[in-house]
Amino acid sequence: MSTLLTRYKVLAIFLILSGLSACDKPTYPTGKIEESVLKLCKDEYKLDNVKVKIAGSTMGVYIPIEGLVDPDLKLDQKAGEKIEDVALSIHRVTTSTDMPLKFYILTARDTKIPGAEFILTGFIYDVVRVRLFDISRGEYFQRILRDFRFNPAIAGEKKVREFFDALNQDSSLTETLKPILYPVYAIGRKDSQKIEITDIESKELSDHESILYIKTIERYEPSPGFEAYTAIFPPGFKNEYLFLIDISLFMSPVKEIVSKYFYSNNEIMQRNLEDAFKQYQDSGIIGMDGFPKKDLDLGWFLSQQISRRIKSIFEEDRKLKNNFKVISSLGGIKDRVFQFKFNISSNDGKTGDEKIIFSNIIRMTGKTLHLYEFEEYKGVEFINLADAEKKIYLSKEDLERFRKNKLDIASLKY
Amino acid sequence: MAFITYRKFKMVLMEHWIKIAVAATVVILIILSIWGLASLESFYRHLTIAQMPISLLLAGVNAGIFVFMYMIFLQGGFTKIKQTTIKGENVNIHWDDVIGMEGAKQEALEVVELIKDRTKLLKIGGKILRGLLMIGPPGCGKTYLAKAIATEAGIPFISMSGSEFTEIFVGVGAARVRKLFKKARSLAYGYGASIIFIDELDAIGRQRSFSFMGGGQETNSTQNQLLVEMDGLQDKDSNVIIIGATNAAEGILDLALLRPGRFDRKIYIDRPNLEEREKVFEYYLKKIKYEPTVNIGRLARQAVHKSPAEIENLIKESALIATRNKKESVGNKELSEAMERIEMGMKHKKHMTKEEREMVAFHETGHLVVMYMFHPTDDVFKASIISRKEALGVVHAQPREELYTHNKEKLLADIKVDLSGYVAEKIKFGTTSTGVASDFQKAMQIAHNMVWMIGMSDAGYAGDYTIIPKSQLSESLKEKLNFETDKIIQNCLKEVEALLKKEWPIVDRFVKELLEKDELEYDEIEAIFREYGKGHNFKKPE
Repeated sequence: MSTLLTRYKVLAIFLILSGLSACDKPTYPTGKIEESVLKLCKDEYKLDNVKVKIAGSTMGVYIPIEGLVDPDLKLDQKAGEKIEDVALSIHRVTTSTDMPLKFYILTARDTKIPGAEFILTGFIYDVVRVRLFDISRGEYFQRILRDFRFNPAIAGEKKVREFFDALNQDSSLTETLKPILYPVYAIGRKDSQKIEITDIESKELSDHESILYIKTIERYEPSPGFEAYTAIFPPGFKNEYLFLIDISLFMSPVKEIVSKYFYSNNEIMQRNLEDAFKQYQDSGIIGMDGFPKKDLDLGWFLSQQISRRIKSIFEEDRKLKNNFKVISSLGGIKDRVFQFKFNISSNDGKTGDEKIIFSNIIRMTGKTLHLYEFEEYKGVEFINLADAEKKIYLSKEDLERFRKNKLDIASLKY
Repeated sequence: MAFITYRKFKMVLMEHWIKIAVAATVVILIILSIWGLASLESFYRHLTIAQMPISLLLAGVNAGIFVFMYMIFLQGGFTKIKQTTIKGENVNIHWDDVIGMEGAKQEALEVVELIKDRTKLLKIGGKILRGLLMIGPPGCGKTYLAKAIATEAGIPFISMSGSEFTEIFVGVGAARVRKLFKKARSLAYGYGASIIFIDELDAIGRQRSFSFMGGGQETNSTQNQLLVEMDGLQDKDSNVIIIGATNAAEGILDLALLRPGRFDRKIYIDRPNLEEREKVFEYYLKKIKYEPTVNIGRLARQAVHKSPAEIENLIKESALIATRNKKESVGNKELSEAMERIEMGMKHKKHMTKEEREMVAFHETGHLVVMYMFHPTDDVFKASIISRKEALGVVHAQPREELYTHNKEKLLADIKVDLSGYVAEKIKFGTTSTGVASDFQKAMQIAHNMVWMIGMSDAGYAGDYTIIPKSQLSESLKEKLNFETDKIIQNCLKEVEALLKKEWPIVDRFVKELLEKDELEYDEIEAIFREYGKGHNFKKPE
């Protein structure tokens, strides 16, 4: 019997070892990431319109959804479920791969309402940690970035196209725009002007503003007496415009139009709009195609996360919520210095309230950076826009000392 | 052959079907687990594998707690029967390994032949051997011989100790006997025959006692079950042989156990004689490195009345001493030290004054000289004035050969040796010490027995007067007997005194040597006597 048992032991050990030896292969190896996400979405969640693109260590996933926004301008429940399914597929693939991915961005856009989009940005290590119960689900939800918004660039493009369509159809507008849309409405015969958009480039300037660089081909018949202009602007000539769109201005979102040509001091002059457009910095992360414009980095991700946490501190704590009002909170990182601009004011205007605001925010910032063991920064600047732009700057070392209660708010200088 | 294999396979199935079922289930579960693991995504697979050690640890701890509680509360502690079943060929003790018991070995060989030729025996209607009882002192190789029988016969061997049957609960022992025989029969079915070896048979085989208080009921019921099971072996198919071993006297065992049909044959295994001891020494010395100067013959002579186990222990002890002395092989010195340590105990140097040491030296020299000059059967192997246990000094003597009866001369020599320490002290110092107390006890006991029990007085009193109650003995007779006892002592004292005075230069010499060296070995002692022209009259150890 001992021989029998020995045999069983050997068999059992053999089985276990051979089984475990096969356990080291990743389920979704490098090179099969995109197709794996698509396959999971298609096979398990019946979503066949998902697109995946990897940029560096960031996985971009795009899904167009019909009816993303419900009539109350909120995220539609069914759309939310689809987003969850795609997110789950992303989590499954990114946690079971050998590819060194760090971030994922899932973009869901409404197919009918241009610019309406839901963006979910996450750090993959956070997904692993929540699954290992290393962090709580509550903490995890604070760590992911959820943005449900109107993309100002997309919405701006729509507005520009609508603008030119209206222009081509409704001549009544032309009278007021003649001086701006130079030269066709200055030299063309009425109702003969046609402007065709050949190319649009856009940049997000803020969460509601965008700038668009538009190239056009313009046709017209010269008005009597302007025939000579055809030598300079032959019908079908190429023109360019810069449009500044603010989607928060529902009635007239077109804030400014700049045309390449303009008439000044009896001369036809032109501007270099391409260079001007290049000078604007794009604050948008997602491109028109629904994928991230660049590889994300942890500094940027933390700046966004902390800016959201700043809001949540004063919105979730009952006492703070009663005493303070949060208008906005924005974050960024430049030259390894975090900058958080927030607009938080005290309801009562008591003395010392600004210290409570800064103290809570600084402590939370220190804790968050410590939890991520993030070291790639020099300092952090906090600016409260509501309080005469009071500013506090802490070096990395000071922030750490503040977190450890070795530095108090009273010793910090504005 | 195929039939035997089939029977063995069937036997294994019958015997171990639960284990086989459990093992098969475990294997299936392992396969399913690995299959399940492989179907998981690598993240969850790694997670599961990472959790396995702690899960296993927790499962182990839980199982441990469960088993502990179960054993404590439901099984009466960890005393569950543990049978050691070994296949004959795995016992691996052959005839050549059995040494130092030639007579017993021959008898055992016959038993093996009987086991092997059982079928032949049955055909001619011979009586089948059921049980074999090995009787002898401890450490003489009873278990060893039983294992050799199992190896030579090539059949499975179940070993149990008699004490394993005894339990506080009545009926447990009997149940264990039933289980043991059931297992043996099963093995006999598979392998053709099997051996049950019950060591320390006296634990369950003592004569049954009947008490109205119920005492001994458990032992009785265990023994009754053993008797019943041994009777059950009359069944021709069950080829089970029971070998019992005991160091208790034959009379202690229950007569029912000893009757023909149960333990049919008895083998007496005694301590080895000189020749056998030499073989035993040779056998165990082969297992260690020893110097060529080691004289096996002398060792065998020194180890009179020692069992093979004691000899083995002696060799092991000497090897340990050699290791401690950073020697690569065992020499005479280590063997002597080992023997001395076993015989006389560890040296324990007490701080004595100069006068005390001197007195001890004279005392021991008295023993030494008288032993050497007077004793007809014993030889001095060592003299020492290093304290051991309670003794301040010792003279180590051994009989030159096994003597199973002692004559008057031997006993008188014993008395003289015992008295010699006292005499030596008295001659030298004119006074004596308390060190003579145990010597006197021994001497007086021998003298008393010589007169009162074995008719060795000069006055011709023959008979054992000790069996007569003292109240029935006349005072005059008692006086006469005591007078004879005293006479023996006094005569011995005179003889010893005369001898020691005559040989006082030798005494002085030995005292000087002892005070210098603390200890004198056989060769040194012999050399000094020869120096004085007192070479031994007896056959000397080789």
